[in-house]
Amino acid sequence: MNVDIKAELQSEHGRFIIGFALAVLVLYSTYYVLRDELSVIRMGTAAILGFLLPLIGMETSVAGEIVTTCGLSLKIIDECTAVFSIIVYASAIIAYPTSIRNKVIGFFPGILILYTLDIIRLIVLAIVGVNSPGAFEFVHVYLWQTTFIIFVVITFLIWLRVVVGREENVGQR
Amino acid sequence: MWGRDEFLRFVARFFIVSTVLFIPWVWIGKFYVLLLANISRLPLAIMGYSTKIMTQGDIGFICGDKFIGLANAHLVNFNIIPFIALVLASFVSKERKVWMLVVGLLILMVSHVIDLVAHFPAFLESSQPATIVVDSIGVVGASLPFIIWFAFSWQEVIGARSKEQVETKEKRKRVYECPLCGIQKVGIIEHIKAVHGKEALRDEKVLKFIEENPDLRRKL
Repeated sequence: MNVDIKAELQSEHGRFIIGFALAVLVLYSTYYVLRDELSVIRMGTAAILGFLLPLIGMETSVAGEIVTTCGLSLKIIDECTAVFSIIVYASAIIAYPTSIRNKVIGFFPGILILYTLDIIRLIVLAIVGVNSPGAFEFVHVYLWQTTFIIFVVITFLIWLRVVVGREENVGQR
Repeated sequence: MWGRDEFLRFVARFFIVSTVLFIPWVWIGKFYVLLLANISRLPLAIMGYSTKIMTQGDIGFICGDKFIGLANAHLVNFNIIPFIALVLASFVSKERKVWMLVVGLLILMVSHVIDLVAHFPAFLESSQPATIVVDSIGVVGASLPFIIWFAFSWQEVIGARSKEQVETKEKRKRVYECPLCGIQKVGIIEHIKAVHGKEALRDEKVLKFIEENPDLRRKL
């Protein structure tokens, strides 16, 4: 397979990949520098779980980043807050060649969707941890690894299809 | 771009493939970690770390009098299965899938070796740059499979546009000819408002121009 690297990098998808990598670098660096100040995200996620789990009958207490429910203690770390998925999604939106308006339309609803899916994942994990402690580790890793990527892919493809696709169709009329 | 049916089939295939592959990975992954550990010994030796790999009991490195455990590392750090699932679930040719897997798995493996090697200066010498590398594996692990998959399946997912098409689209989006004075401008609506006045937006020529270029409506 002959690959013209220069032509690939200058192509639309080549520029997307370079833009994506730069955006990830900038967004993650910003997050990394402000990590201590942004502990509010971890505590906020813990507080949301502390609010939602009692609604499904699970007695829950929250202390900072630690959620204790029915004898199960969960520490909310960066990976639990969807922040990495959000960085990847936001970078893809920033790098994709479309109008600023389309990017804004995709940005905030997309982040909200990813965060909501993450909260659902944490609730499922808490239910599994309380009811089937033996399966917790497997489900934890399985859900973490698979949902991490597929949620970003799904949200990004929906944005492409609904927002960008619509604009390009209008432009072609 | 993928239609709704293709999109739903892709998601369903992803979950089926990832579930089927994840069960054996719990066992096979340990061998992958051992492979990484063996590969990592070379860069570690170059960096001055004399290491021995423990394969009995808890697997890990012995470096001097320190033990660096690798138990369950394959379950925590690596996004190999989701990447393979993304590739196998995609609607691309078998040849392209093979290319995606070869290139993608190689890149992922290199990132895993870098992560593993960085643990040594990070934990044994509290090296700041190495700590940043170790801390970054979360976002790297999330972004690499996504971008490798996208790079290879862009044409199938989005549809390729030629350079001319891209340039034409960008030109069409940016430069318009004013229907009143004929000047070619970026930001034509702003030009009409500023030069010809807001009332000019109701001018018959302008109304017709906007009808011909409906994407300008959002700038009104």
